[in-house]
Amino acid sequence: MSDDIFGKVGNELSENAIKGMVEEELRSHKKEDTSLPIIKLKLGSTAENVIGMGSKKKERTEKPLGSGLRILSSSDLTKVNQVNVIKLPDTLSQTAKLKKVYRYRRYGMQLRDVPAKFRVTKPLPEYRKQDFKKLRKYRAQKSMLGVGLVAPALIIFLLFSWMPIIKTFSIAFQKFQTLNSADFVGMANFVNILSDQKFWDACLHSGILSGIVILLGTWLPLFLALYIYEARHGSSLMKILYFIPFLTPAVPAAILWKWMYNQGFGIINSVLTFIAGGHHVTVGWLTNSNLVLLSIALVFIWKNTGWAMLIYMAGLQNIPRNLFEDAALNGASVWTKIKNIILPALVPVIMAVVFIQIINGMQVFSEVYIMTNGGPEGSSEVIATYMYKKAFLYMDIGYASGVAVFFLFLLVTITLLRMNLSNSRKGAK
Amino acid sequence: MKKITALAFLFAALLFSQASAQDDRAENVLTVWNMPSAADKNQLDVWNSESDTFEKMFPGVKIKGISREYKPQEFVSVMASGKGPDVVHIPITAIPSMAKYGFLAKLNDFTGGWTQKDYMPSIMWESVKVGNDIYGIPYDSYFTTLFYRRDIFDKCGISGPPKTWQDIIADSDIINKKLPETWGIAIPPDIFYFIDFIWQAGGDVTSGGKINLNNPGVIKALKFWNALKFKYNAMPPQDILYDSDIEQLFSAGKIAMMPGVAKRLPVMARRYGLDISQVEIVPLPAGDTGVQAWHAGGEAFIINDTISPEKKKLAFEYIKHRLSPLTQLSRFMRMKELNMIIFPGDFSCATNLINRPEFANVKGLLSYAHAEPTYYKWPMIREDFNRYVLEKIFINRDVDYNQVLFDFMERVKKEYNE
Repeated sequence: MSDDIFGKVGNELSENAIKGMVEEELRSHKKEDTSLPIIKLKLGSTAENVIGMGSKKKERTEKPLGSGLRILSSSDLTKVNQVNVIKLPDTLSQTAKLKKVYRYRRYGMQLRDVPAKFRVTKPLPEYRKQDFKKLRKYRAQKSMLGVGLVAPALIIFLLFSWMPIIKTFSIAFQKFQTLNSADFVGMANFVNILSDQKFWDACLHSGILSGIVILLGTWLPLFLALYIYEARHGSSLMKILYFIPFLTPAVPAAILWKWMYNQGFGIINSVLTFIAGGHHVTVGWLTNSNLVLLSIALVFIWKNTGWAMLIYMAGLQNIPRNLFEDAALNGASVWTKIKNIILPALVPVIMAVVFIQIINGMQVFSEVYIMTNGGPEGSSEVIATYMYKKAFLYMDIGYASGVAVFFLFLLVTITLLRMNLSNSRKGAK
Repeated sequence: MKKITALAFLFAALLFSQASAQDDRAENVLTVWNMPSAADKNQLDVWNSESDTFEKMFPGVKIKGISREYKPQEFVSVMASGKGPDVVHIPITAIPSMAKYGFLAKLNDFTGGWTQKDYMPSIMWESVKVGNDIYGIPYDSYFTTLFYRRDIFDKCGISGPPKTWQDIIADSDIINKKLPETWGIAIPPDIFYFIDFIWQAGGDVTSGGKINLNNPGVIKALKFWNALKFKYNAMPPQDILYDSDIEQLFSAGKIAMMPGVAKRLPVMARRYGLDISQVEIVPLPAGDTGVQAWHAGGEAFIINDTISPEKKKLAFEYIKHRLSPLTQLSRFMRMKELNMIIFPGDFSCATNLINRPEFANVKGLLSYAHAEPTYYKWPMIREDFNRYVLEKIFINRDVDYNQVLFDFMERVKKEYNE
């Protein structure tokens, strides 16, 4: 009868479900010294529809317990030379059967299945009232310890992250006559933002900047990471060298690049002049409206390539080496390896880098403020510099807060989009 | 025990912070910004001696000097938080907006009976007034002037500085021919300098009490700047040169003339190795109709509006002390003793130091000085003008000036209700 049940279970289980269970079994034995024998799955309408593991010389010594279920011995789970046979009642749903099988395999017999005569009958000790008090105090102390440990960080976080955000929200609905007297103006700031051409120009510039950053700042670090991953010598040194720009503070880096970009005496134009055989090259990297965003984006990419590369490196480390070895044995080219092994495995990492780059790109401030201050002719004005000028130059703090709130919503939307994408990818899996 | 020790430390830190906060707010302590930094030892010595004298004059009063300069966003934040200085000097162009935001005390009652006030030129007082209210006391006075490099002029055989716009063109031509890698002049796209050319061209930036930057004087000045670059090749070929670029090029001897304020020279010497002995400071050349004009700038003392009336009185006494002829002259003598670089603008315009022979070049500058509008939205309009007009004429050879200015004024009307 039990065989019939198992036959049914076996037939009803999908192949993937059984594989999953077997993989789970394998994982649970992963660190044991015993080598696992080859697992054979017997499906279909064969006589022995069991999930077999271990020796083929299995002897059916168990007796069915009516409609109940039992396992031969919990110790059998760790014995590789025997086969576990789990018998399940007909009344159980497929999911319940799976759960049972899993529990038995994992933990052995359940308490409720232990015969009454073997159960512990010793009465529980009695506690006095003061003992309960002590217990309660102990519990309170224990929970307070956690609160105490978290509190300082939480307070700082709330004070310096959430307070300003909440305050910004409230200021966004106000118009300041003086800094200490503000009038509530409702949605007026937001309405004005919608019709503010400068704001939309700044949004466009931020978008273009982010676009360039995504295009170059995503793929360049990936290729560098691949190169370093494959490099036999000096990979640590290269990692450090590429990471140093990330450690450079934004302000000195921007000043340095401003000099390098200088149209008259910058090193970049000097090098180009040399390459051009002495013909004087005077590219206006920061003064040409068509080039300025690219120039700023390049500085940003230079600065952020290091960390993106490290993230890719971490992702690459997670790809099993044997995949590359198999691919090599099968004569796969480098491009085939990249296309069929690396890129599919790195998709989540690439998406993470893309979204972080978008958010960072939208928040660019120091580079723009120092190198161009939004010029020439406002062609490099980005949201962050526009917000800053509105607040501290134009002294329109309510409006600047409105821009900040608008900007925050934009970034939150991007973040949610990212989370949705990664969730849907998990769901698809 | 550990808990008690930690609590004791916490309590002590709290007490200390409270005590220092109390100390700042005490009626007998005046918190003053603009104290020179420790790195600038000579300036700090002079400043300290002036503070010591004041403390002797007012026993029990203590001057708490803070080495901090005016920076708009910092100043706004610190004043809004109620922890601003009692006394500080800020650029006079910032006074209208800071007064509008309620940070600055009205000083009419203090200055009314102050005799020294009448010794200061009226143009300096115009700069610190908003309507009929006085919000600042002029501290120093600077004028936009022309720096030229004597060594380059000598090499090119030019006898003296340019006196008119035409001289700038002619001198630049000579310089560029004699020294091919050197240009005559460089000007940043900044209305701070451009406004002088507007006045020199016979125009103005206001009419009928409102900002008006679309007038023949502005167009003439714009055309002149554009021609300097594209027609006469008097300027380096770079699209745009900002202040720091020009200062570097001037210090390196790549340009022979630049507009500037004298107090930038020591900074240029320190940062870019400028040899100050080769630099002459002269008034800006006159416009094509012979009009001489430049603008008076500088800084003004202000008093924090949130302090008590008694403390305001004390603050005003401190300002009076700093600007008194005796203090100013002592400072001049001390600076001479210490061999410090001295510019006439460093001293209050109420003193007669300008009559000293070493300041002969800039003597009389006040006669032709103008003041920028004291309209609180002027700094914003300036910024927009730099961006949408001046940068445009430096980047584009052919500009429709009427259209550019028309568009700009439309923008001003829309954004600033002007």
